[in-house]
Amino acid sequence: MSLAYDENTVLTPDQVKALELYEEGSTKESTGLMSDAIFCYSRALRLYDNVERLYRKKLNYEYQKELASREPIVTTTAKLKNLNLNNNDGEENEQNTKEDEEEFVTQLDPCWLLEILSDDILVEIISILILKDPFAHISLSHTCKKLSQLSFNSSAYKQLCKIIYPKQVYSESALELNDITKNQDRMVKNWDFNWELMLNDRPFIKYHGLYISKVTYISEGARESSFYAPVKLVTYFRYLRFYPDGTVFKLTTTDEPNQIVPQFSRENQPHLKNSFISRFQLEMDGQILIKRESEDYNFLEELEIVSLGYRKFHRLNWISSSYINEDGEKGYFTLKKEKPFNFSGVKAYHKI
Amino acid sequence: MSSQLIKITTSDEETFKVERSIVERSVLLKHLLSDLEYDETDEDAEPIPLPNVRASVFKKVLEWAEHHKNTNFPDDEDEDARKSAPIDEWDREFLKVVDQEMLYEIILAANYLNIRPLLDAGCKTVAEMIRGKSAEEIRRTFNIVNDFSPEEEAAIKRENEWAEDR
Repeated sequence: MSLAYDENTVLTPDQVKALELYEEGSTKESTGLMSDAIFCYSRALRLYDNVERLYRKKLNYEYQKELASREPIVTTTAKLKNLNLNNNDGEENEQNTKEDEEEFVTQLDPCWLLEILSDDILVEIISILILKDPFAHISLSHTCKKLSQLSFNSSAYKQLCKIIYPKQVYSESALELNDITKNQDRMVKNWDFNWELMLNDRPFIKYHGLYISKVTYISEGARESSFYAPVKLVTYFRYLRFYPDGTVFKLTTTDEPNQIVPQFSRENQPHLKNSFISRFQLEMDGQILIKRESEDYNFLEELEIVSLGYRKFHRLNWISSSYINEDGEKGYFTLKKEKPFNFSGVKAYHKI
Repeated sequence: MSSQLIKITTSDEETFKVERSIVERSVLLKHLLSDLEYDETDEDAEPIPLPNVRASVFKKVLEWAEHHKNTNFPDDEDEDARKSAPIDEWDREFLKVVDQEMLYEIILAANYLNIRPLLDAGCKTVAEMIRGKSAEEIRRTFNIVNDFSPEEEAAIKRENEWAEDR
């Protein structure tokens, strides 16, 4: 991918991305997809505020180029240039293959790790990694077929189950009805003693990170004349961080994740406006009930854990959001604009 | 009487004479000695063969056992606690100075001889070498050959990604 539209300008990756988004927006606008276009423009502007000037410069440059290409002489030089480029490419390729060969020679050193150690010792090492560094465990599973298979064998699934499930906080009724115990060796009976199956099938809350819901909608501005219809793009975020003791830290704000994530812990609650500490309970089928009692209202939020493609139990969908006032009357908040929460792992949260 | 030693012969036919208390760090040898009713005061007692351990490796194992002669290793029932406990400082240095091949042979010998604390220290040392590294860095550290096709590698990455989050 080229970083600039002409040879003399070097753009930062952000500028390139902004320009691409701006062009996409412009295509959308020309086909009448106004709201899609606004999304593109606003994202582009956030990356680089001068994107419009860049876009115009590019259009101008392309126009000049087109004019120039009509001159036959220029085309020949251009062709020559291309030829030269091709030659250069050829040389580079040769160099590359040489480098590859050298690399191959150095790689012929034996892999003592796999040659000497038996599978059960490798599994032992992997189980230490699962405890100490989940990220390195995943990296190791990407290195080769054998380590990939050992990294996710049944004993790894068993270990993961024993790490994950005892930390889940279930409601009284869920505990009673499903006979849930912290003893996972008993729980796995319900999944034919198949740990992998349990992990795929039994929803869980993730604690090493936070769930983010980004809500964006377009609100129509005041219409002063019939020629203009100003629109306003509104964006806000909902953040949720669960703790294994049954509390959940909640925040609704317009601040972007890169500002919120580093300071988002319940210890910081007094410093974060509009943040609350609530209690949550999990049902066996993955429903989460979040309860908060204030002086005159009780707030109840129901969410549901679902998977997102390969990412197990990665998303929380809204089911309902309601309140009960002091007279015991129940009312519902509209969820029309709400978006699901997606999980983002945060390495720093592993330390706590 | 304390000069009475147990004779052990390694796979490459080298014979070691070792104190009983040190030999008994190995659960395998401890059981063997009691099963055989081995009597080290008997001058003509046959040496115990160790067909799976080379002399250079056994020397390192003995060095470790000698150092830990008086160490009382906790008999941890809880596997997770045992695995997440930090490596003993002396063990860390001891295993750091050997090359990879020797490290793995020590681990293998500790496993065979059933010396749990040494096996743990060895496995933790390898885990430490993996910690904090990307897949490519791990391959370079251990000379692992990537036998995935690019498509397979991409698929594996997609499938395993979830396990980071928990």
